[in-house]
Amino acid sequence: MNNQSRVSSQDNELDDKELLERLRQKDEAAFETLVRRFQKKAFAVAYGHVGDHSEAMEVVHEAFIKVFRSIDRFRGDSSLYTWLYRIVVNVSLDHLRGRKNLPTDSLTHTDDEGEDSGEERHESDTIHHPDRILESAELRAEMQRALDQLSPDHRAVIILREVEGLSYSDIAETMGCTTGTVMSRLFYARKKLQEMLKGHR
Amino acid sequence: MELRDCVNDEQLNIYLDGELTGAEKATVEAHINTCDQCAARTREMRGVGEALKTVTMKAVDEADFSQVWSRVRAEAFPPKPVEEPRRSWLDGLLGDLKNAFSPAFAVAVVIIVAAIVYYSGWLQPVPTPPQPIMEAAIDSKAQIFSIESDSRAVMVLQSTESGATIIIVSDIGSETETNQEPSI
Repeated sequence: MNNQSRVSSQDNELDDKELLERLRQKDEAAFETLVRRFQKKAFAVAYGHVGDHSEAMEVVHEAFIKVFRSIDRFRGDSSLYTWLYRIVVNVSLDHLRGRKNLPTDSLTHTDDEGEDSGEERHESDTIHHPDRILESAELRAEMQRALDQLSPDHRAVIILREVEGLSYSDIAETMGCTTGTVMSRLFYARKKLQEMLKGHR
Repeated sequence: MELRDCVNDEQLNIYLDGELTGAEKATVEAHINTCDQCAARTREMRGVGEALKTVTMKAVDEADFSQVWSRVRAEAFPPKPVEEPRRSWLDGLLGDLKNAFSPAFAVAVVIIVAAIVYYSGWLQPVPTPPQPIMEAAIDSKAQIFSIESDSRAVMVLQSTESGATIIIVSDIGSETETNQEPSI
């Protein structure tokens, strides 16, 4: 049993199997349970991709509507939650493709502000102490900028692993690839982020 | 088992992701605990993931989820139009008439009916037909001398020794009896 299913079973009396059955019957209460149970996880994945609150919320909305419309076609070969994650990732990627040539308003290029602050941050400070990253919007934007440097596949695996805590096999199921691919993508993504954040002073 | 060399990046990644188990995991852990360099690398790599998680979860904390379900419900489960209960054809007709009835409609109906009544003459006085001559009122001994009539009156004259006596004058709508001597 994957981590998500286990947690959700504890959170709610309705287990995943029964929930899925009722979802297929287009039961409104079941959909409400699903939305309330999964909305924060969906938002986290969406935000990791698009880096903007309102757009991430839009992704979440579209993803749930897709779930509602395609639940009949879900065969249950994978777990309900990896299927949901896949939908959120795909909708997020659609949004990114839609703004491919547009400036990313979620990013604040504040290099000048960083120089003005006169603070000298060592690379080890930034990486070892995540709270310091949040001390300013500048550094928070830096994380988003580092994520934006990753390909959609690399970004998806690092978010699913680090934020959602999915196992290699769950990520592989979500992304439709092998665990070996997940390992190599994670290795690359983590290394790339490390370099990007080291470069921030 | 003890590692002679430091843990490579791939192994360290797998260890950090919790995918190493059993003896392998114990071996890597033992090495990290004794090697400052590998311990520093481990912290650095773990810091990247923690930073990403912290940034993302802060965004989650700031987000407002109060409208998510209501928006999804509005689109997935739109409110159904209220169905009116089925009515018989009579109920339907009465209902239509009721709906059609309005003060203006009532005034119009009253005016039309009044016009019809007025022009049809229903309200004019009904002419009373000429009353039949009551033979009983005539003296059985009297001899009807003549009956004169025009469009408005019938006069019955009784012949007497002194001349003719008008005994009945019947007019439309009235009856007068007189014993006046004739003026002629």
